[in-house]
Amino acid sequence: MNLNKLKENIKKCEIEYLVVTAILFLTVLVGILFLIFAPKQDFSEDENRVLESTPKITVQGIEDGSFMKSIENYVGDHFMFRKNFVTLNTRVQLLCGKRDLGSNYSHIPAEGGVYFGDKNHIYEVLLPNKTDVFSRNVEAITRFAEEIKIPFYFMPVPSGTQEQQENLPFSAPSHNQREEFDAIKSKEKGNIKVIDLFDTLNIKTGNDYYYKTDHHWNTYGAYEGYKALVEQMNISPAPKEDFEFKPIKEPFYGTLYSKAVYDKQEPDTVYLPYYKKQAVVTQQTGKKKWEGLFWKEYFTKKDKYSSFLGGNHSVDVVKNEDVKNNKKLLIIKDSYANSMIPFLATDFSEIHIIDLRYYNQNIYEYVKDNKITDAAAVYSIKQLCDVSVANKLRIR
Amino acid sequence: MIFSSLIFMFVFLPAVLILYYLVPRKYKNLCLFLFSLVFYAWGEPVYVFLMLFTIAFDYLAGHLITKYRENTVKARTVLVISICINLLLLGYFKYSGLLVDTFNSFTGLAVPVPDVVLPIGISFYTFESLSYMIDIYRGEAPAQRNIIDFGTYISFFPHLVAGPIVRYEDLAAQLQNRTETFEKFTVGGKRFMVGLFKKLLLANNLAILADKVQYMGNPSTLTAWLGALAFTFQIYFDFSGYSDMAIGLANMFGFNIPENFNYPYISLSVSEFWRRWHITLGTWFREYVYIPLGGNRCSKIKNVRNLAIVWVLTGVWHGASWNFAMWGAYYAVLIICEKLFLQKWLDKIPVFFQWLYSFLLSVIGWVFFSYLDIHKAFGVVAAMFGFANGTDNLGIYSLITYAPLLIVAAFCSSTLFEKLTEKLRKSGTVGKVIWSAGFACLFIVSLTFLVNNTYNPFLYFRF
Repeated sequence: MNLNKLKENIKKCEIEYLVVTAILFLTVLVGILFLIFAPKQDFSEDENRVLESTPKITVQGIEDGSFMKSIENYVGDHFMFRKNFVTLNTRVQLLCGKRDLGSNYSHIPAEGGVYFGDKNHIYEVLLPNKTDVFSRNVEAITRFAEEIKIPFYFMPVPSGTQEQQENLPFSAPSHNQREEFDAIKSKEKGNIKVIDLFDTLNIKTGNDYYYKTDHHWNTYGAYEGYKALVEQMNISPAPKEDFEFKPIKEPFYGTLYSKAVYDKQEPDTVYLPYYKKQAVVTQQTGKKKWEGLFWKEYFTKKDKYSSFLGGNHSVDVVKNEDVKNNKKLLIIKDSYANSMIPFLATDFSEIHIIDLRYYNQNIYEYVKDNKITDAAAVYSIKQLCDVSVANKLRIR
Repeated sequence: MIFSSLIFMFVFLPAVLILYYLVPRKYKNLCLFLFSLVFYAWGEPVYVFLMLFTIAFDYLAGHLITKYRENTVKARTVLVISICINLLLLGYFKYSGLLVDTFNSFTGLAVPVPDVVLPIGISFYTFESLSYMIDIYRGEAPAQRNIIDFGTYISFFPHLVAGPIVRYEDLAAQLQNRTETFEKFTVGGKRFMVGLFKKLLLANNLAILADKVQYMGNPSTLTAWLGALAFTFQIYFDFSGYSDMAIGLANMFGFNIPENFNYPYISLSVSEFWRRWHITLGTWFREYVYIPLGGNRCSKIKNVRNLAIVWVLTGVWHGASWNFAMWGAYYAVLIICEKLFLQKWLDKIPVFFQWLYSFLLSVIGWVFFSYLDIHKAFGVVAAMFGFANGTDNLGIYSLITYAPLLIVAAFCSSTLFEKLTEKLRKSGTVGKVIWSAGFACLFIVSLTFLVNNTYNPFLYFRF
């Protein structure tokens, strides 16, 4: 096509169509150049996952489609101004009147996303239970408790959403976790005690026991959980004044923030409870042993909640040589328990912490071999509904 | 691969466009054909061979039909055999699961249900190959000599996955002879973006509400209405947006393919709705089923039978589940009634009520379409008409948070929106600037939704 012809051709176009088509393809061009030449990130802290590396072409990869999948992920993960786009998207959606973001109801299990609540709080959306994961988990845990025949304390922890209903958007539907609690409570008999935290952690107490941007309870919430647990065991809890709550300097943006990144969100502060009475506490994970329970490397990372015990491992053993009562506590748990351990460590000579999601040994033998005297299950109710641990408790 | 994805817009589309415009004329169709195969193979690589088989088989059948033109019996035999084979493939890949399931539930037997993944677009390209052979048999178009050109017709990626269903007759000439112009290209670019907006801004967001209502179950009256309306608009913007993108893309390569939607929700009768909704499918059934059966040029009883056949088939075509057949039958009844007496009554009532009648019936239709479980669908319709609590938290919350989007959706599905924006666009320089700037903003916002989809926080196990 020669130049004159091209000119004539352009003249025939509607100028606005030409403009918007140009915008489309200029954006595409910039996007391509960015994909090719911009420096790549390997890990996204905000999403807490490794980003897709440069796709490698293999026959196998084409056959099973993994090559195509990895190109798609690569383009998505390294797209230009990714975080700005995501933030802008949150703003647009809130502007259009939405009050919950990040849901996916066609996924199994359904993902409810988060509510943007009052007081700069984000809350996970609680959905009615549609799978049998919860009932199987509870069944397995109570069977385990009956089988090991030592005092067993079941502590289901409600979500911040449940405990702070008044901060949810107007008329926001929220599943009542009392339903699950009552199901657990009905299993209370013999050596099994079920601990009710619903009133303890409620915002009506005048205290906020949850993070604004994270699904966990905060350190004060964990203290209340600790208190309720040991009181059931007839131990008098260490008073709050015996701990110094030291803040981690950097702001904390938690998991709920990651589900709906919003640039106007106020961050949280993570407080670490240091025991003033000079206990020498050690944590053993696998073959490694540390002094103290707080992992400094997480102080500067995004995932600051993992400062407690360094996150979740299959087994942690926490020993306190100052405590001479020879009480050995086993905790099966999710991450909610992690921030409770610094308090519990003041009352037990040994705490064996098992995260069943990662644990693949015979737990019944573990209880026998380590001469466990008491056991507890510390789980957020949401986790009990969403993630199956039942098969890890099978009697072998 | 879908059009509204980063991989399509930022990798596939620029690649195919650059190559297409670089290669000489005689390789352009080959270029489109090869890229279409890649496009198709993207999601389910093995099924590319199924499509290649269909292409080769129908190409051959087309030739045989031409060869036996003089001998009606032979030509007809070839036609019937090839139609059967095409339909068998469609039947096996799309309906075998449903049929075995139904057989089992009636007989109490446990015949293993075949585990076949539905090849993408098979419903669309099967109908296109049928149209090819029938058009040739009828002498409405000559058989394609070049298998690459024929392959391009079947596999052309803009209309491969979700239509419009292009009849061979409409595309035959363009395959040999078309001109790509800047004008067509820019019209196509704009059209593609309009489709993108419909899909990403409206359909995907409305889908969340529709899915949520369905997930929660047992809706109140308010919730049931909101869910049904959300789905009503979702499916329209999803499907018509996809058609817009397809038509726009075809324009970029110099093709003109037929329109698929024409403001269905402004219809004043159910029959009119179906002349405005998925037009190319309606045309296909009219051309290749309804008219050959005798259409309306026969006795009233036969006409009723023909309508019933066409609408139940239309329903079943939409998916392998009985609710779609039910949905088709629902339209069969409505359209037959309109033909027999209802239209005469409708003509006597005010236009507003004609519209209300048609719109409400399509909303109810979508309830049967969207709920695979027919019992649940009846429950929702009952709830809509008062057999449930009036409101609940979900209803009020959804009303507050989705009112803006639903209003915009309703506005955009009327002709008013188009009229206003066109007026603006043609109102001089300021109007043009505002129009273009608004368009650009919508594009950026659409991109944020695309990027947001790739943003997947990994929450459970590492936190």
